[in-house]
Amino acid sequence: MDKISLLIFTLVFIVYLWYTFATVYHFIRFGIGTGPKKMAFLFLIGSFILFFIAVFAYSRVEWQDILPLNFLI
Amino acid sequence: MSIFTFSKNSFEGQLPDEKIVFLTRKHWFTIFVPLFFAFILVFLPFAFYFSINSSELYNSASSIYWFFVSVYFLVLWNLVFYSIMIYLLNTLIITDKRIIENKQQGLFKHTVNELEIEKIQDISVKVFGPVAEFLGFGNIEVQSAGAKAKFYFNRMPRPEEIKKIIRKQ
Repeated sequence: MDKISLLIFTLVFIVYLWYTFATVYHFIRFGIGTGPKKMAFLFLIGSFILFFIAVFAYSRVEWQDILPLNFLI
Repeated sequence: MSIFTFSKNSFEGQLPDEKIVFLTRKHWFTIFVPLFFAFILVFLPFAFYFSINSSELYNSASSIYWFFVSVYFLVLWNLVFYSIMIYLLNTLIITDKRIIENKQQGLFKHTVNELEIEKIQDISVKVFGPVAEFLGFGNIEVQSAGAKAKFYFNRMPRPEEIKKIIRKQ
């Protein structure tokens, strides 16, 4: 079951990384002026912070207390 | 770090002797509406928390609730910046030779419309509704002698000024 959760996490991480890259790429590649570049930087910083908060929150989940969802473990 | 400091506006496909006369994006009201809704959505998990924090369900599943909240904010952050990206990448550039409209319609989906200044036959400005009138934005319709007869630039700020700038070229 640990392998399945690790696989799911890896897939989600790859999809999220791709989406983040695509957004930053568009800001930098097609943006005119300094505004889009600043937005790209802000977006990247915020994405990393929120992602690590989500990972931390996931690590703090007490699965044994969620009785109806035990079949997912 | 030079990309964060002031730089002269330039764009892909700019000709060597071509000068940018005017660069604009859609009126700020275009991005205000989605950002306003996103701002309201930020408070939703906390409002929900205050309604369920005394329940037994929350006491047993609080950790997974906050995990879902963190994922919710992550998704919201991405949606907000998707809207900002679409807004910032939709530009109208007036040079001494052409009018170029960049339309970003999504990820890896954009169109570029070009119109030569000397082929412009007629320019119309249309302002619809009290919001557009008070905030000062409208639609510009440009009649061209080229293959594509009409160009529409929607929700542009100060459309009369843009019309004058185009006429001066």
